[in-house]
Amino acid sequence: MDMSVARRPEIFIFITGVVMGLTLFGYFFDISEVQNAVQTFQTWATGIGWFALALGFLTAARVHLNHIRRRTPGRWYFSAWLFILTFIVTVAGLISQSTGFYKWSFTWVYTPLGATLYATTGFYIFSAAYRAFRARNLESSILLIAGILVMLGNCTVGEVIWNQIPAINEWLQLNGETPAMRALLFTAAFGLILFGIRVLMGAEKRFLGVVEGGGG
Amino acid sequence: MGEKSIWVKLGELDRRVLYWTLFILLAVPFLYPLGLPVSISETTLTLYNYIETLGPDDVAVVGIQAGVSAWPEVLPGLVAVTKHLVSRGVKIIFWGFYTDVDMTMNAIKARVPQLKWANEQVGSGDYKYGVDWVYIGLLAGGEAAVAQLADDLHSVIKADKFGTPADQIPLLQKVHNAADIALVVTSDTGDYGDYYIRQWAVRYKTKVAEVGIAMNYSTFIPYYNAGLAVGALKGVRGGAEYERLIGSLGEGTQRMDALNVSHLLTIFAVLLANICYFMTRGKKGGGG
Amino acid sequence: MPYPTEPVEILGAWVGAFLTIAIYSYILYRENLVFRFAEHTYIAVTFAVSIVQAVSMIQNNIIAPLSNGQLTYIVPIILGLMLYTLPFKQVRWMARYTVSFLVGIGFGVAIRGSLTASIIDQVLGSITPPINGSPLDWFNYIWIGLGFILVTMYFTFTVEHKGAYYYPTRLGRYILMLGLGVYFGNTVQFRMAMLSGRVQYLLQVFKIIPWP
Repeated sequence: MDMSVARRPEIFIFITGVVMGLTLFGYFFDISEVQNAVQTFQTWATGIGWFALALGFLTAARVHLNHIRRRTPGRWYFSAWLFILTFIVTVAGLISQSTGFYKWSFTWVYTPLGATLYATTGFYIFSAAYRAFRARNLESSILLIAGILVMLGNCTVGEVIWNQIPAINEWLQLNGETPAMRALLFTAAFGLILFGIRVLMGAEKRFLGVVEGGGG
Repeated sequence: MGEKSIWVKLGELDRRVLYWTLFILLAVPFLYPLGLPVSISETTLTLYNYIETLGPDDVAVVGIQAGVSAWPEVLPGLVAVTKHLVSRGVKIIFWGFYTDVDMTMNAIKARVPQLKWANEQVGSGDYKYGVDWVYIGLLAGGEAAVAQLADDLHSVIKADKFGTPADQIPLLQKVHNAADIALVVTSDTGDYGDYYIRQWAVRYKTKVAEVGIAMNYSTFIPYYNAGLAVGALKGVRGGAEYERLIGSLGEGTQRMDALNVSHLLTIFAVLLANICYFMTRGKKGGGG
Repeated sequence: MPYPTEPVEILGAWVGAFLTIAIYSYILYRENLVFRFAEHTYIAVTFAVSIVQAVSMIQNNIIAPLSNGQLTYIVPIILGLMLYTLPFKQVRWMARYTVSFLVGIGFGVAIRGSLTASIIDQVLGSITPPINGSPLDWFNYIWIGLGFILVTMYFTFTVEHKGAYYYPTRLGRYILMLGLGVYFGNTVQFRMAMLSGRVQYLLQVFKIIPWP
């Protein structure tokens, strides 16, 4: 059987268009058959999401297998360690999630390391504050002054320094930044809708990894 | 070439000096806490006031979309809001879209002792599992899943975390879609707050509140100002404010001291760097 | 919760502290063997957690209803398994069926919600005047309404910011900078709260301060 037909981009664009079209149609028009279909789609998407959880491993496994196969200097034994540990912790977790080595790894490796990696940016933002935030012009001066006032307002010592700091911070958070955040939300939503229209018209193929000559 | 001035040297300070200074000084407030008072923001107060109107007939969802890695920022707020919901007798459904949601659930439970698992002894004022509260565990599927939970909770949730079928859990029998939920508390490091607003608040008028990281507070404010959200906590600062409102000071209040040190240090760094910049600008031929 | 007392738990606390320092060795002394070990250890455990969670949730929420006769659950199983063809070049096209379905439902759901939450309600929120408002309420009303228009004009890149557009977009840029300044301030709070959490953890493991 010729499988090339099953790979034609038109099929995928059709699927996306129909699913997206029905989802929007069911929202604006009270037709129970369409709404039921959309709900079924949403349930399926949730189910697929669970399969997607383990996808990262499969993608990374290729890279690490290559390191082992080629004996990449300084890397391959770490890749081997990664596979061994993944296997041991997975097996332990499939036996019991609430006891044993899985729970130990979760508590003492996953938790502290996740938090550590996430917190690393604290160092970077501090050094960026020292090296990059210069009042070179009016724009950067506005950004700096607003940032400093918010920092003072977010910590409790700010109001000890000046009792008006909480009121200024409150204004900046609730009103000062609203035009910018609202405009970002508004323009991003327009971008989303335009993307949807392009998909419905079959003009958008990038999400499938199909980019025609010249990009597009 | 002449020797570099003090301003040039300061401006070119090695990053390791900066990192060590920050790391060491952050330890000081844990050794010598200050415990300065915290003033209450409007968005914290509106959430508090709304929960004050709820009672035992109401059901709230606590959606955990922040990982263990974000605990220092979000856990104090989550715990304080849960304590408040429990004090009002509001029924609670916990779930999460983050792989380590079990750890966060356990951390909340350890700090709110009224929440009892099914195999634990229930006393007066305690929350009986399955009746007063339930834990669904991990969910997946992004915004489509959030939308489907709003439309038909039972089509997504077939069982709780422990595999007990949903039709055998009394609390889940009371709720069918977003209209049955009085409040969604969403704790995020990502976009899930937007999802709950778009799929729950817009379509079912469900009240939504953000208890996420401080950056999400910024992006959530347009929703609050447009009347789509009932309140928001600004990360650990919001958590500390809520602890004060419910009269139960905890980890949020403690962490405010560390924020004092780190924020003053960051402000000092910015000011010093700018002084160095202005002192050396002309001498470098226009600078910058 | 007291300091761990079981030997295996004490070992765990010290392993966590060692790995924390190992990760921070990167930002102080660049790539090194200790960092690489900690990095691969974390990735391995993260993969294991994802796999275990996926298996458990698929069992509870897909296999269980399917075995109870709800046959439509066969579709997410097929589409979900097709995702696993992504790493293999020859059969990767199969995953496109799943991707095209997810893009369709994902964007459809997002667009329908955004229309109201991000567009209609944001405009209404900007043009609705305060009732019995104070002078500050009226100032905020004008600030938000006008500022929203000016920043949106700044984001309009299809028109050159020249002539009649010059000053409004310039002003929009300043208002945007104010918003980003506030966002930066909040970012510092988040990052510093995280970092203080790690410092606290190390102090606890080394018994300098009590365990929470």
